[in-house]
Amino acid sequence: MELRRINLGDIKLENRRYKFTLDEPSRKLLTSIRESGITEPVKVKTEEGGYILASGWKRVAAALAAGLKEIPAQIFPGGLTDLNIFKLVFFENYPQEDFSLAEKALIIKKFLEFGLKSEKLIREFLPGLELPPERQTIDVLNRLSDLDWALPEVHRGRWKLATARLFLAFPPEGQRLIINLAGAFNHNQQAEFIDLLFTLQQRQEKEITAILAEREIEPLVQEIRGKKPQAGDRLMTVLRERVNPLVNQINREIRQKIKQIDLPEKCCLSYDKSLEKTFVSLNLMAGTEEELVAAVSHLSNSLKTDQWSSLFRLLGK
Amino acid sequence: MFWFKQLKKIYVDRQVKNSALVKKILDHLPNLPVRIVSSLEEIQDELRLAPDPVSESKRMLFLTREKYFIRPCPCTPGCVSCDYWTLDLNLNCPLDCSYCILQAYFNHQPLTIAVNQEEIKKELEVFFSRQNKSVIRLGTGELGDSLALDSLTGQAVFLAGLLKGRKRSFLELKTKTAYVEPLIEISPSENLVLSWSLNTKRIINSEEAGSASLEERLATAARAAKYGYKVGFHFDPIIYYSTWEKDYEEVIEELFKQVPVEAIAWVSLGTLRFPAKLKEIARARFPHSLIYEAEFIQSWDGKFRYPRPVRVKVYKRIKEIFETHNSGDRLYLCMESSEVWRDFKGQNKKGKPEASPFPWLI
Repeated sequence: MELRRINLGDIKLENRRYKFTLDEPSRKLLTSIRESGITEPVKVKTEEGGYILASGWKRVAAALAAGLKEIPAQIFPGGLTDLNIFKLVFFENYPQEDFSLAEKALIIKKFLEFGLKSEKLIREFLPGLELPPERQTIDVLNRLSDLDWALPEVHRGRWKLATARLFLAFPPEGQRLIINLAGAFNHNQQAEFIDLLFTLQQRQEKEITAILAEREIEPLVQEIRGKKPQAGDRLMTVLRERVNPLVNQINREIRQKIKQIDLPEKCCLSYDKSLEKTFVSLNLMAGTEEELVAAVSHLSNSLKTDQWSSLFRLLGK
Repeated sequence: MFWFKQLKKIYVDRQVKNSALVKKILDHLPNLPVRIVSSLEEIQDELRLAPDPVSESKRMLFLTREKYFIRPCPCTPGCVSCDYWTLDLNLNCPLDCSYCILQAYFNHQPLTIAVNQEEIKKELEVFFSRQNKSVIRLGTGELGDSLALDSLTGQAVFLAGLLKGRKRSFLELKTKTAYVEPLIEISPSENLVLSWSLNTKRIINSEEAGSASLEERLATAARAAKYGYKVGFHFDPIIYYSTWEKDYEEVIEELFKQVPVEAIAWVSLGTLRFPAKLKEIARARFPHSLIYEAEFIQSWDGKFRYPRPVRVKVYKRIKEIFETHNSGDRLYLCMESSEVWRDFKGQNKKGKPEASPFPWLI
């Protein structure tokens, strides 16, 4: 490959044929390139009097931000097919990058576009991408890659395949709504958010537009849209209560009952919130024998009230 | 049988291509293409390319041999175990129930028949020589329907012969079909229990593709009981939905109209439970099913279950209905915690669970 210094302006950045990475350049990379320029050449292909960038997207973004005019580049020799180039770019990144699902979706899409047979993709590439080696995986990720507007959020949220599959089961309008709101949730919450919405949609036979417009939910949606991400936690609470009304109701009653119990100081009462186990755990701290006697005596007096029996009734409900 | 029509191809393991049972099966299915393979992987490679590998796996028949057949039933840790043993001659099932764990359990496993069934004799001898329990229960319905492939394999009669005369050792054949013809042609063994999974008509229609109707199952059970077999029933999975109580009551009433209490060996109850992976697969395969959209908790074993109060309510109500037919003592719970067992069976005066909770120990 020929090494050359090229003008940044000659790179046709609108041509993203080989691009599958979605991360922006890090602060460290920006600083490094601002201070000492690009030391590791990017890779380009010549085409129609300019260059198509194959690898080095973050370096180029950082160089543009630093106001560089020229950068070092390796030029792919003529005669290489798009598939040849993409394989080289892929394997260059493969050892260093922990690809997100969104990036894997783009990788799969590009391999297919460049003519790799799906059988070969399944056998030779999916295991290395830590994806189930089957056609279904390709089908799901190919569909996901078509939703380019969704990919940044899928990437940021580090979605798993199961979440993507469920997301794709929503109608397009529902998918847009989910992506619009997803920024208010962390990675685990995003998966749960989609799962809860799916359950409600199926259970109530309603579109999610209608669910999110409900009286209790709509103000929270507006807050999230108004860039108040803390509303995300409250929205999750409401959705969890909708999906799990019985367990939430019993837990509320139990918490209320525990508050009414006169517990010794430095005594903590816990129970199984899934309600599978019907016992309570008491954690009692005492630094001296006297403290222990006092705490046990306190507990013993507390047991004379009927609060405990009603607590156990609730736990065994 | 209905599912013969859905079969697309037969694969024969090179090791067993000269087996008599292979010949019999191929004669039975003369119009299907046959491919000799050296390993399961060759079939799995094809299954991986299918848009829905689970459905596709039910259309491919693989004739092979197994090394071992008997395994302890993998009861979930933390549950009260019923000490069951599974006898797996076949893997995978031609029926297509939306709640079936095999969808998540198998990884690209075609409908598989172990044609070296003769080898089970030795394994059974060793197995029985090592057992010291008063009652031993073995069954073939864990990794597929016990009778769905029987017209091809003749396994039911073969196994009945192997277990004949072994007192206190029960062989259970568990099915959702109405196919018992070969068993009606032999003299009934007292230790062979023919069992049917039962559910409400609504659930059978919406969730149990390819299975016999409730009427067919009960009529066949009644026929088997009349012929002299002990019969068992499995209400598993019980699905909790708006009209569950009325619907399950109808099933139980219908059951007792047709089958005498004395013929019933046992009846198990188990509410729907599933690992997260099954939910993912089944939601994609059965987009109209609502069974995965109820209220669940993730329990001690990582599986999703209805909340304990719901499960206890369901079990107690079903027990009440059985008790009106003087058959509450036939009931036991499958894969349930000691807390739920305690609420279901009650406690003795010392606060311990009642002794002998399982029907076969009474």
